[in-house]
Amino acid sequence: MKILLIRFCFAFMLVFMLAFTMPHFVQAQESADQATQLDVRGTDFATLPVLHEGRLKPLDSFARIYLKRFSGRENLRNISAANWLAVSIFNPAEAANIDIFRINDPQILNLMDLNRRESRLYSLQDLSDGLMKTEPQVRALLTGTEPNQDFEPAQQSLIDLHENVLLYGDLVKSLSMILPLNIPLPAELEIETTYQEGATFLELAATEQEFMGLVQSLLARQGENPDNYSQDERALAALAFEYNVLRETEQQNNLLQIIPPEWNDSRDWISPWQSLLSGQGGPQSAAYLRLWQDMAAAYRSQDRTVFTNHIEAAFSALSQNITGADGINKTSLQLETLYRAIKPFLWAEYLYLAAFILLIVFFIRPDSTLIYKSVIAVASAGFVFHSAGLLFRSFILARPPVGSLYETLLFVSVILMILAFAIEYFRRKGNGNGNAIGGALLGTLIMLLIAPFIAPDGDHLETLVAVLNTNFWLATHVTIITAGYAICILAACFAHIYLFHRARGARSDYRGLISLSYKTALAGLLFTSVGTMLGGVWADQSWGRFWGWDPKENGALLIVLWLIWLTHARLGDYFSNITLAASIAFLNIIVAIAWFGVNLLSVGLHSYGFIDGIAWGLGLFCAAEIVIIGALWLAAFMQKRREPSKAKDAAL
Amino acid sequence: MRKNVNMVDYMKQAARWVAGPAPVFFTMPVLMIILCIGTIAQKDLGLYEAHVRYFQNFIIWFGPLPFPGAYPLIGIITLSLFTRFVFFSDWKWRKAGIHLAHLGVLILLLGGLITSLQAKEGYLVIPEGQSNIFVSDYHQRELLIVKNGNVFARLPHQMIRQGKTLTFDDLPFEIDVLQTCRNCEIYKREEAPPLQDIETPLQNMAQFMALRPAPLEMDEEVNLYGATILLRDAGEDHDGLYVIFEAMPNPIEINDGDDVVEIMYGKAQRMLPFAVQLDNFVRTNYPGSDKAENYHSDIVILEENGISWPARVEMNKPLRYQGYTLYQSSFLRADDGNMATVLAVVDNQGWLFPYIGTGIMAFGLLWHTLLSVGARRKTPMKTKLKRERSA
Amino acid sequence: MKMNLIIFGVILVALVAATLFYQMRTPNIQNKIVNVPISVASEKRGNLPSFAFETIDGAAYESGDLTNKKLLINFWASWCAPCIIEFPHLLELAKRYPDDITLLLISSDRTPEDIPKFTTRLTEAEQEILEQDNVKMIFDTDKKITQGIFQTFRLPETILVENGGHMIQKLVGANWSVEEVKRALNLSARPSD
Repeated sequence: MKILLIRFCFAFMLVFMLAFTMPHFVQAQESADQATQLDVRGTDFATLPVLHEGRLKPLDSFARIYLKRFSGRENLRNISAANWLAVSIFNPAEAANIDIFRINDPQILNLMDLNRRESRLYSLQDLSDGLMKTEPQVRALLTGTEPNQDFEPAQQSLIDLHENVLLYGDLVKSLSMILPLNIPLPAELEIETTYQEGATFLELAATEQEFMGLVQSLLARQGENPDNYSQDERALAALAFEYNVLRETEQQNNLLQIIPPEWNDSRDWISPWQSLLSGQGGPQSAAYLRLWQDMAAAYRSQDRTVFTNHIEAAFSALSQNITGADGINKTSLQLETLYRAIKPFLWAEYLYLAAFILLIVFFIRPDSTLIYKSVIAVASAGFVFHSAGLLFRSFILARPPVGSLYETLLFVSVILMILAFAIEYFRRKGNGNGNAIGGALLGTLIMLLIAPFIAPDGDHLETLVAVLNTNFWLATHVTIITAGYAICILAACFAHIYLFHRARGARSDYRGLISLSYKTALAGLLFTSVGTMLGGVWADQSWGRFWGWDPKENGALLIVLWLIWLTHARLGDYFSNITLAASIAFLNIIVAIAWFGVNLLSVGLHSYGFIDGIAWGLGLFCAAEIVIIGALWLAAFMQKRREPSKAKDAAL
Repeated sequence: MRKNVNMVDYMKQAARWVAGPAPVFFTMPVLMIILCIGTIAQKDLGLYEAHVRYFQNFIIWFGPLPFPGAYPLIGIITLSLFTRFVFFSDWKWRKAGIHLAHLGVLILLLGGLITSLQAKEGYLVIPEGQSNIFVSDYHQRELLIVKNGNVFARLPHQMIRQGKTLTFDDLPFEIDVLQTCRNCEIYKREEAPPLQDIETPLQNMAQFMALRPAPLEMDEEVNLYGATILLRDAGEDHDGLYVIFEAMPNPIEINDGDDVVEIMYGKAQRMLPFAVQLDNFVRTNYPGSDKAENYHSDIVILEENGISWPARVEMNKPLRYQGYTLYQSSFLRADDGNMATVLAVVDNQGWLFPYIGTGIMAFGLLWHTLLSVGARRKTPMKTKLKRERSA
Repeated sequence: MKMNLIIFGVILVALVAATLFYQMRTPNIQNKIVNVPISVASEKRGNLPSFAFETIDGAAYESGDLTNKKLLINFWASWCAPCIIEFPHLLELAKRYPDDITLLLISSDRTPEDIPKFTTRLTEAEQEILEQDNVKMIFDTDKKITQGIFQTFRLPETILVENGGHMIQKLVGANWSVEEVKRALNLSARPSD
């Protein structure tokens, strides 16, 4: 009977995991619709570097960020981010037909005369009429308002849509100087063209004076009205128009910064148009751009071998031309692509969830070592992904992985898991408690689940603000204090469990839980106090004063004072074990306030941003915890009164 | 005889109580409450006001009710720590960690006391290519009187109070302070209420402007301190009502024969024993973006004896010299596009205390935690579990 | 008890002494500025690409032939006003340093005939300089060199090349002085003729 139950649980686990992960895999597959374009996956195209948001990234990250911005997803059902980018820059005419812009608001659909679709996604082609129609409205909104005035959600969405379209327009024109203008060449212009469809801007620029001369004589001959022109003459006029439009409007296009700097000591990579029109081009950028032209030609003719060869040539050109610290690190680019493809934190979440469910089964059947071992095994697998994710981040960003609020969530949870594994190992002789791993899994799951809300634009692997740009202090102060948070949370989890057992009538020294909780709290005191003091030393080095009563400093101090208070309360026998447990359990609230709450005040040197959902989430969490701890404490207290013999306070 | 013995016993008992966990147990909650309230208050009052009210005070008044401020609470804890360390700390291996931790905290608190008593913070604004020797205080303002180009007197703004009369030896006038404002709003003289004595001539800017108190700014540095004053005994040309406020475009000028006296109001200035010249301010942005990655100031220290030497002040890398520490605080861009660096200058003799205190405390806590966490339990786990199952 | 008081006192005295000592000491070398030698910076630039060209007199060259001297490669055209403004500066440099630098004047004019139309309007002295051995006038057919190789789309641009074919700087536009170029190319001051 037991064995059947265990087998059933495993089967359930398997089905559960598959159910969660399958849709994930299915999404990543692309349908046969892709056959019209070359599939760049499997080539190194997406690893080519682009400068974006202050650092060099692989094109893959760039593509995902913008696709997510336009469509809400990093990969679409029938096209991956890398392929979308490739078709956008190499074959803009095709790209205009791909559904990428998300419109959820029915008001906007109405304004733009569009029908509601299940996918909610629309292509540039679909939107063009509606955009023209709503353009005056958007212009009125932007010019008519004061700087701090907020728009209504519908208005904001409309403005965002126009902005996104403009941005996409820049993107598709990034390589327009090496792509053919789809207008037949007049016979008088003798130019060698790479493409059959027509000449490129660059090819026309080489004979610009002649070309413009022909246009002048046309105007002189036939006047300005195109109705008087022959077909050839119309082609010439259209070509001239296109050429001039490109030359005038693309001066500001600096979106796709793929050309490395050539002349001054700047580290700013530039877009192809910038390299042409801003005087920053040179022999190296000319050669590099030619490689991209060859790439484009190979892509358009779907010659995969030639395409791959040119990408290799591009990488070798980059490594030869750029030396020193600003050079490209191909490994780092590949790792970043891998990191985004694997999504290690998502895997970690699934595996931790599976482990947690198994753990619940274990609590029902605490004698089964098999279930316990499988909990540890599955949690370890999750841990491998979790720490791999953090290691990826550290390597890609070349700094400790604790630079932003989002990153601290990932870090604290990994420390929590390490602690839990350690404690489970050292207490294994007692048939393994499962308490440590249970508390850690619960805490970690909560943290990983709320992490995306802390970084609502997605995880861009951001660069740090100037004052944080110091690896030494990040590696010492921030890691120690966040480790301290993790330890305190674990101590609080143990205290919760202890209170629960006391509430159902267990002895005071039940499984040594209160001792464990207290010792963990002591370790927490060590880390939080040392971490807080190190923060003071950093502040002294950076701002000139050791302690400024800054909200973040006060929050950290609050944790330390609370811990000092409860330890001295126990030492002075003011607290029984139950009250001690309640005070340790309360650490959850204190840590949450110190970690997230202080950002809500938006004052002081530590204020790294107010995020909307935090206030509600925090408030809810604290309220829930107060109720839970209060109820458990009361229940335990009542139990104690009923059976004073069992309740004799155990030594810690 | 007996009475003396009882007295000594009583003292010993009292000392034992002070050195025990009781003072900590009772003061901590109060301190934590003040910490919370004071932190939340920063949002509405601004940092400076909240600090002064809650963290740098002996008593906090909530309406009519007094509440102990940070000073007395920290004082009690310091006394407790001191008593414990000096009288009740025997150096045994098991207890050594705690004693060291206590010692570390004591030194930290002592450092805090020294800092609060004598630390002076200020800032130095230096445009590129120029030098500066005067450090402006962040909060303290002063009435500066300059006679014939030399500083005659610096009166702290606390002295400039309504109804006070300021008299000086060697100056040809006396000043009556009619009105002061911590944050002044300037408005037209026509709209001002008429003066008590209509005969009083309006001098200088007072002819067009009047001052009245405005609500305080969140940022204390931005408050425009000012006063309306009456000058007497300076002669017909100069007697009368003046307004004076921070960073006034033209100071009040009084001529008395060959002497020229100027009166100005502004942030209190301290002179450094050396001048600081800004050769170059460098701001490095992340490539391709406007976000600052780093900035630093390449300066030259010009000493009184003529020696000058170059130095660099960078974020997280201050320059310490002659007891002063210079930090890269921020920067300004002047109207003509010239950059100016803003260096924070701190004069604090107690700066070393927190470093040492932290070190000792960290060591002590580490010791104690390792010892406690690794301690063997008195009853082995197996026996415990057996007992539990049979219970 | 006494010992602890002594410990406390000793630490206090040590702290005061350390603070005073720190105050008196000479400033830290760590804060001194480190100068980056110029040569390191310029090593990042590339080498002159190899290309073949013909002067308007018909003489054929390879770019590699000229790298034993410093090079001034100037992209210009007779219809470009700033190019005309900077022309005399280029000629002056060519005249002052005949043995050190070679001046390549690469024209993006429409036809080769446009060049003499422009040069005949120069002063005699300037025309004499154009005849010097170290000055080469080139008509860039189809802008193969200007645009194709050097990606110059806006005129004028001037590239400074050190001995050995090392490109060290590009001057964009006509807003440069002879002094700047002399400094960049490490040309010693010579008495003018």
